[in-house]
Amino acid sequence: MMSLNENAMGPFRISVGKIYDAPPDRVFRAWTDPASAKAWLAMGGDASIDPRPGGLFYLGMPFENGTHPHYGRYLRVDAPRLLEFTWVSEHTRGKESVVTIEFKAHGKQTELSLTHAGLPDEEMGRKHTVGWTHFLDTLIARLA
Amino acid sequence: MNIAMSNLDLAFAALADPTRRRIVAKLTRGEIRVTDLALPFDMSLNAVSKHIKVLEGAGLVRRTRVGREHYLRLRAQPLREVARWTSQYERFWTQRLDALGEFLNQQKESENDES
Repeated sequence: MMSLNENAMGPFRISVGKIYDAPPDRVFRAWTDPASAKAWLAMGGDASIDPRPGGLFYLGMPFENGTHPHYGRYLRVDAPRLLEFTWVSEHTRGKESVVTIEFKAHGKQTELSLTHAGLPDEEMGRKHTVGWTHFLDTLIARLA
Repeated sequence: MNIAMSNLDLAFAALADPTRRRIVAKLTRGEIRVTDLALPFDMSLNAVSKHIKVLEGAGLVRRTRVGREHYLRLRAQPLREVARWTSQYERFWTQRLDALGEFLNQQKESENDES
């Protein structure tokens, strides 16, 4: 059996970001206000959220082929700077992954960075390998 | 854990090592002799051989023997599975973050309408 070194934790992580024309408290509230989260995060589907550490959420996202249930529990709720929750869906094979969102003020704008880690095994994904996704993209482009 | 999942785990673990990623990157240019592969890595053939075994175990490379020479070739399928998983979630969150932007804009507009 192969042993996993620390570097092996790297790949299970993706990061995306966006800048919004709104202050951090408003962007943060869009994640934690039930009506707001229902509108954009749950794509209008069922949403039940309890945004406090240990609180649970359920999002029934309507896709063309039916409702996809997503659920998890909030780990860290530090308005308006940081939000962290576990994320469980069909795509995580029922395992808990971790979504961490940071909100940084830039004047009247907010820079949001989202990291989704810990998949497919929650023991992994805690370490970051820079450029991992880029590496894969380059590789796949060459293989195509 | 199902079989497909453990294959994905093996591929992720194999690719987590920078030296093995370099080997894989080199192989994207085509088949290569193991002895040629070893040269730029500043390590013994024995050490390279161990990395190759891990890549083989994950189904990422195939080794063939011609006479005394060992040749390596990349197998694309496990790589595609790894890339599909990561790109799925990247796309998902990019779309959700865009939706958040639209939501915030609409919110702003309706506030402006009220005032």
